[in-house]
Order: sequence, then C-alpha cells, then structure tokens
Amino acid sequence: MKLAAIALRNLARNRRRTVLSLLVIASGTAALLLTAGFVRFSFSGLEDAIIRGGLGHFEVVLEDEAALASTQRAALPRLADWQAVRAAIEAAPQVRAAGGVIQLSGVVGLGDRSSAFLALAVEPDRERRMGFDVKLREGEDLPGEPPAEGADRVLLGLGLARAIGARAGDAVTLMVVTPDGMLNAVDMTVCGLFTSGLQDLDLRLIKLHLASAQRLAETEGVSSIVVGLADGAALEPARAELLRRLSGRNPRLALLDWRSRAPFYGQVRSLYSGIFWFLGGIVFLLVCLSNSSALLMAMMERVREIGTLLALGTSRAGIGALFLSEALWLGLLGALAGDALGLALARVLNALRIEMPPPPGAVSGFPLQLELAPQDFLLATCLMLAVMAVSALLPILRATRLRIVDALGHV
Amino acid sequence: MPWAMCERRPCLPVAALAAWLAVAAAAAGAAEPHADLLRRSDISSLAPESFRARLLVTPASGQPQQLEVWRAGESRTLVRFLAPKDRGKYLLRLEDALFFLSPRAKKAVKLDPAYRLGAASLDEMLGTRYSRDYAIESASDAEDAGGALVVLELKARNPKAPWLRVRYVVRRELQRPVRVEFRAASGKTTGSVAFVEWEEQGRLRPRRLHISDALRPKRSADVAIQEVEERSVPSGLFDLTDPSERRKLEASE
Amino acid sequence: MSSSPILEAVGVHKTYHLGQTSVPALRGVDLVVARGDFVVVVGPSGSGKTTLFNLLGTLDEPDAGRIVFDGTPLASLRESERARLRRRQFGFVFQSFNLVPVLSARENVEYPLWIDGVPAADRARRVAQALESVGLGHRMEHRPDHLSGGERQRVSLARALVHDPVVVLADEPTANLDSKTGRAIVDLLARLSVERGTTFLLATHDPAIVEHAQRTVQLSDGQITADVRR
Repeated sequence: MKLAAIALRNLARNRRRTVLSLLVIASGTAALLLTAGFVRFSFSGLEDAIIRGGLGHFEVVLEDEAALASTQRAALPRLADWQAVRAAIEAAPQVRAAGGVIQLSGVVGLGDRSSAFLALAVEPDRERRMGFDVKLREGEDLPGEPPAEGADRVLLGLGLARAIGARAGDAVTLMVVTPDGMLNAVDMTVCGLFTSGLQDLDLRLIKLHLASAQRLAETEGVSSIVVGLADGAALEPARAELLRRLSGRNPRLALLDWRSRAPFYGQVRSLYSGIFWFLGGIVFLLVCLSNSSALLMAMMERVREIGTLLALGTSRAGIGALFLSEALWLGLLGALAGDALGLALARVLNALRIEMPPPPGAVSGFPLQLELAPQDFLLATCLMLAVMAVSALLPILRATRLRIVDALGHV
Repeated sequence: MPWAMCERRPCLPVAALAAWLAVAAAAAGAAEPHADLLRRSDISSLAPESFRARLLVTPASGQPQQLEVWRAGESRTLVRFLAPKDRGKYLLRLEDALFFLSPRAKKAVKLDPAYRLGAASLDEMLGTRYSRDYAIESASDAEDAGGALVVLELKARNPKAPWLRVRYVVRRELQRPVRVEFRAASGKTTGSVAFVEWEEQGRLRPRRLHISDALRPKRSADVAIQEVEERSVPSGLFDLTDPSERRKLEASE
Repeated sequence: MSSSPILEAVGVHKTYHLGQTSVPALRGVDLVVARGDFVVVVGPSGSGKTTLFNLLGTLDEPDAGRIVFDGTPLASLRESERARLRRRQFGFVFQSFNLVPVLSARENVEYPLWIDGVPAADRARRVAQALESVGLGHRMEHRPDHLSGGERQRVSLARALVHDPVVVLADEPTANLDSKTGRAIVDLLARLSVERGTTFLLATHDPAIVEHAQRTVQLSDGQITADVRR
C-alpha cells in the first residue's frame, strides 16, 4: 500500500472537481510556457540582432580604452598593428572571422544640404563571413574589396538619406576631423540605403569600407577588431582561447564580449524577466486560490474519515502528508497536461506567424515565434507543484488540527 | 566636435597681424579719448588691405601646424595648410561664409561661420573690427606689472555679432591691445586672446599670441607670426569653383 | 476472565460546551476494566457512553479525574504517544463502520499495520488471518460500497483486531445492522473475545449483546448507576 496510490484514488472521488482543478492547473502551466517561449524568443532575437547587427561576439580594443564608451573610442583609432592581431584571432578554431572597425563622426553633404553622421567603417567581406546582415532598402551593399582612391562608396541610413535628399548613385561629400585634429573631406558615391532597425539611428548612421574610412580619417589604425564566432553558445571556451592568443602583446589588449557592450540587452532582459515573474506570480496566485478552495472543500467532505484515521492512530503529520500528496498529484498531472497544451499551442502560434508590431524606435515588426526549451517545461511543472503545495497549506492546517471526537461526530 | 583648429589657429593671427599698423601709428603716452584709443589700437581695422603671412600654431597638446594666410580686404581670406599631408586643404572665408576645400572633394564644404576651430571661431579671428562694430559701454583704469591699462567694455552694435560683449584691454602708454576677452550674453567669458610679444623692429606688429578657450582650458594655443608680407593677392585664390590659382601656388612651393 | 486492570477511570468528569450552554457528559465516573473482560456499557442516548469510550480510547481528555491504561496515566502521554498507543493497543469499531471508501476490505484492514510500519509480507499474512477470522476471506478486494452492512462491520472488526490490540472499543457496533446480522456480529465478538483474550468494551442498546456480557455497566446521566458481573 502506498501513500501516493491512496492520494490518487482520493482524487478520483469527485471527478468533476478534480477535472476542473486539472484544467486550471493546465491552463496556468500553458500560460507560463507561452510567456516563457515569448520571452526566450525575444531574448534570442535581441541577442541575434545585436551580434549580427555588427557588434559581433567579441571586440578587441586597447586595454586603456576598454573602459571608454565606443563613441569616445571613435575618435582614437589607435590600434596600429591590427592586421597581425586579426590574423592571430582568426587562427583560433572557434572564430569564424574577425574584422577591423573604425567609428567616426562628421558631416555628410549633398549640394546645399548636409547632416551630421555616425559612421561604422568595416571590412564587408569579413562581416559577411561572420553572418552579419545589412537591411538594404535601396541599391547594393558595400563591395568586399577595398575601394581604390577616388572610388569610395558609402551606405546611408534611410533617415539620413532622406534628410539630405540622397539616393543610390548620388555623390556625397563626407567631412571629418581626423585623429590629429585636422579637417578632411572626401567625395564618395552612395551605393545603397539601409536601415539599422531603429528610426533614430537611421537618421545618423552610415557604413563604409574600412579603407575608405582610413583614407578619410588619415589613419592606418582601427578603433577595434570585431570577432564573430562559429558557435555563439561557446562564448566562454572562445574567450579563453582568444585571451591566450592576445596575451603578451604591447600595447596590451582587452577582450570585450557583446553583453558588456550592449547594456541595453541586460536591461531588456531584466525588464522581461521581471515581467515574466510578475505574470508568473499572478498565475501562481490564481491557481493557488482556485485550488486551495477545491482542496479545502475536499477536506471538509472527509472530516469524519480524518477523524477515523486519527482514531486508528494516524499521526497528524500523516494526515498532512496525505493531503499534500493529493495536491502534488493534481499539480503533476495538471502540469503535464499543461505542458502538452502549451507545446501544442506554441506550435500552432508559430505556424500562424502572427505579425507583431514594431518595438519602440524600430522600423518594422516581426513574426511571433515562441521558443520553448526543455528547462521551461521543467520549470513550469516545478512551479505548479509549488503552487499546489501552497494551495494545500490551509486544508492541511485545518485537517491536522481537527479534534478527533469532533471529527468523528461530523456529519 | 573635437575640431582642434585652435592648435593651429590660422586666422586669429590674421586679425592680430592687421593691428600692427594701427598700433604703429598710435601716439605714445598721451591720454586719448577712449574711442580714439579703441580706434588706434583696433588690430583688425588697421591691418593692411592685403597681405600674406606665415604662422606657426602650437597647441597645448598636439603637433605644431604651419599655416599660410592670404587676405584681400576684410571679406576674403584664404588659409593654407602647409604640412605635406595636408597639402591641397584650405579654409576659405568669403564675406560671412566659410568653406573647407579638400583635394579629395570636388566641391567646397560649407562650414558654419561660427564653427569653433578649437579656442576660437574664425569670426573671432578673422573679421572683427571692434572700433566699427562695437560701442564702448564703459571704461576703467587698471594696472599690471607692465603699467597702466585701460579696460574698455564693448557692446556689439549688431545683435547678430558673435559676442554681444567684449572686454578690450589696452596698454595706455603704448596704445597696444594687451588682451581681448570674448563674452557670452550672460557675461561669462568664453575665450580670450593675449598679445604676448610684439615685433619692435620695423613695423610694429604682434609676434606671439596666446589663445585660450575659457570653457575648455586645455584647448589653448600659442601662435607665432613668423612672417608678414604686405602685397596684392591674386583674386583667383578665392575662387570657390576654380582651383587653378591655388594649384599654381602649390606648384610654386 | 479477570486479571490485573487494563483500564481504570477514576473520578472522571467531562463537560461539553455548546455555545452558552454547558452539558456535563460524565460526572464522576469510576470504572476498572480487567484484562480479558467483555464489558457491555448500557444506557440511554445522552447517558455518556460515547464520551466514556472516547476518554478510555485516548480520543479525548477528561476535565477532571484520571484515566490509566495498563498502569500508565493517559494524561502523562503526548499526542504522538497516544496515537501510537491507539495504533498498537487499541482497536475501534464504529457504529457507522467508518471504513475508508477508496480502500478495499483488505486495505482497510491492513491500514493500522501499514501506519505502524509493519513489513509488507507480515501485513499480508495478518490481514488474511484477520479477514478469515471474521469470515470475509473471499471478499477481500471489494471496496466498502460493494459490501453489505454486515460485511462492512466485519471488515471494521477485522481492522480493529488485525494488530492484536489489548482493548477493543466498539460503540454501538450493531446499531446500523438488522437483527440477524447484528446477532451474528455479537456472536463473533464473543467468540473472538474468548479466542484471543482481548478486552472488549461495547456500548449498546442491543439486548442481544447484553446477553453475552460477562459484565454490564449501567450509565445514566453521566454516572455509573450499576455494575453487574455475571
């Protein structure tokens, strides 16, 4: 004879009530899973957008610049021996590619119209190897090969292009202050228009080949080297390998991972996690209150039976264990049903590819996709077990405090 | 914008240069009405009509920069950068407009005339005629180690002037400017030019200036006026669209 | 059969409070039950029979007086000790059978052994014996709702005896049975009393039970008015 078996049989006494409880628990579980799936999708989407948007998995900078924000680093492309560093990085087995980067700011003009810009100068062929994407809206991407003098090309952000009235094929003039404080201006051809995904950034952002930027800034150095890994999940092994390869260099170099360079991601993650746990708390409360009432009712219907069990010598803890077992069985069965329901609903929603509205500042929406991982099912199930344990507290308290004679006399 | 032209101030020295004639003509010693004092010491008003000058601008941090300034009248100035890597780059002032010319850009890039080249804007350095454009609000006497000073508080006649107020400090005896302080509307000093040394041989002119940015104290520069040649200036140097005269100039070097 | 006292009640008082009303259920009861006695407690409804049985069976505590089991005052025992006493030394037979509906007859009988931690093999043997002794060996796997009243009471009796208790307390064991079935139960009780030497205390109105009693205790208005031993 087993306590768990007795508990399960007790659940079958009032099937309607048990089914209702299971439905509540299953619904709560499915709700948690769908929320978790959305949150996980949001995180991975954001992570992907950040990394493939140009940040890469790692960034190599001069150690004394590591504490600077990237916009401050922009004025100082001091990483001189960068090709050798890049070669050492690309020799690491975890690395797919690495590319030099310069960030500049200046003014871009077409005719009488001009606008300030923030430039990201990259090695396009290496970016493509790293899987970075450019959301072109017009024209074509930057060429992979370094342009010859007089043949520099530039990609303009959508908003900036509109501000100066530029289209693909137009000749614009870029002017910057070089690192040693001198002005310089270079004519470039607009090869295309692109969007970063953020409206405000599109008003300022341009992209150009690293060689063009070096010509414009009159420098041979770079601000940093961006690194793209073959497997983003293997961040730590890659970090260890890269640190080994970068050690002993003079000047000393620092390795920054993408998270430290995108504090926005951490903030979004904290916000979403807070929202998730808040929603989880609400689900917890609703399931708890609903089932607490049902369990209490079930207990009240068995007061005389409890009295009998106590009279026969069952300990009060034994009575508590019986009701707790019943609650946990409900939690487990309901959670398993909820896991199945959540999985089915997630598959249906993913197949529908519902278009979500653009997030604040973004230019386009995205199809809803829920990502569920095994640990989500486990977490939801454990949460439901915890909920049911809490739900059982009041009935257990009442049951274990019954006076035997009163319980035996209960009608 | 970390434009550090203050480190190689092409145009304040121009204004400073222009003053040397006026200063040379000033009477020594006698007490003058303040307006006369201002007029006589006004560095831009008494500058030669056209000249060529060479300057060495040494910033507080950074490399010294060699410049050549061509000026024809008050409204046209060409600043040429003499460093080999900067050959073919110019700043061109035409009336109130300021342009940057680059060998890699077909068209000139228009800059804001108030565009700050480090410690001072070109407006401050190129074309301010204090005796014409400013009225004396008050005058007071002062003294330093060098002797008696007259401190003139000037207010712009034109509300669109780059500074509403200027403190113009003159050595009474020599009728030379000692220092000019530029002030914002609030009265806060934004920058200054100090006349550190004067060329006493031949025509009197400033030989060394010190330019400060009161808001960014680290951006100061010393300007050494190495050479001044009063001469006519080919008008083709100031042609925005035709670079041929400027190319001749480069080729002649 | 008389021997050393197994249960003693000395000057026991018990009052129930119902709202503003106080109902004295027992008013100074003295009772000594010897080991192996077959004692029948008779009395009208409200005479205090159930109260007395609750106190003797450690299910409740007197307001005054004391109850001693096998030399141990019950008042000195903690709740857990009383529970253990009930598991091992007492058996209960209830008027309404009080079987657990989700357990089969076998499992109901097995219950007291299970909660006392008796090994499974031992449990199985003793349960079979207990059910055989009450004539229910063939209906072991049936749940109570598939048993007649008489069968249920037999199961209840088997449950009360399976752990070889020293004392069996049966409160109105035949009240919910027809007369024929009731007589059969009473005969069974008497036989088991003789066979096992178990001390039986029965509360009843049933004259058939009184016939078998070695000793009859008359209870009225919370006091023992007669105590007759045959």
